[in-house]
Amino acid sequence: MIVDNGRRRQLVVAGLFDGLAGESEGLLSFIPNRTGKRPVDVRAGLLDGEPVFLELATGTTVDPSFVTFRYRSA
Amino acid sequence: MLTALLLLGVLGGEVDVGTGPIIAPPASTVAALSVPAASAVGNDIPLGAYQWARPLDPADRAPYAFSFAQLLAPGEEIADIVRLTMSAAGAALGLEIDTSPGRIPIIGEDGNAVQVWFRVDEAFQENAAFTGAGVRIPIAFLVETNSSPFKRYERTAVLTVRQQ
Repeated sequence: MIVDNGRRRQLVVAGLFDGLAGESEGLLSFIPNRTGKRPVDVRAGLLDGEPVFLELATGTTVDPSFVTFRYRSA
Repeated sequence: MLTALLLLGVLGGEVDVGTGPIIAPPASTVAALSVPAASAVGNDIPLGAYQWARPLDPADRAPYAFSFAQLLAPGEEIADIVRLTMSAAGAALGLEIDTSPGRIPIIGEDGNAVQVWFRVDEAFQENAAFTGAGVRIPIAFLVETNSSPFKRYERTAVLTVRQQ
C-alpha cells in the first residue's frame, strides 16, 4: 500500500503567493497571501527557487479558499 | 527531523496493509454508492465525491472509514489498499494519513471497508484556515478486490477540518 501524504514546497507566485504550498500528484495548492494578480492571470512562478510554468487547474480544488495549479519545469 | 518523521511513520510511503476491526463511528464513515450522485455535493466539490459528516479538529487523532460494500459483488472483498492519496490542499495545511503504529490504514475484518486515521502536523494546528467553517480536503482511496480478474475502485472522500 502506498500512502502518499504529498509534500510542502517553497513557492513564489508574484502578486499571489509566497510561502509553502502543498504538492500532490503534480498539483500545487495554496491559499493566496498576496494581492495584485488574479489566479487566472498567473503563468509562472518559482518552485524551490526554480522557475516553473503554472496552469490553473480548475475543478480540482474542493475548498474555494484554495487555488490549485498544475506545474512543469520552465 | 525528516529522519525522525520517517521513523515515526507520519510521512507515509510504502506501508504493509493490515486487517482489523473498523472502530470509526457511523458519523465518521462514508459509503461509496454503486451509482454516485448525479450532481455535486456542495460548493465546488467534485462530482461523485463523498463527505464525512464528522469534521476533524486539527488537534484530533481519530479514525475515519470508507465503505465500498455497495460496489462489491456477493462474496467479493477488498484484497488490498493500493494507494491512499492526500490532495495538495491537504498537504499544504499539514493534514496527513497517519501511518504510525496502531494507526496504519486497515481493511475491515468484513473486507468491505477501509479505515484510516488522520492527523494535522502540530506546526499547522493553529493555522487560520481551520477557523470558522474550516477547510474541506479531498483524499483519494484506491482499492483492489479479490475477484478474478480483480477490480479496482478509486473514490474520493472529503474531510472537513475545522477548530471545534
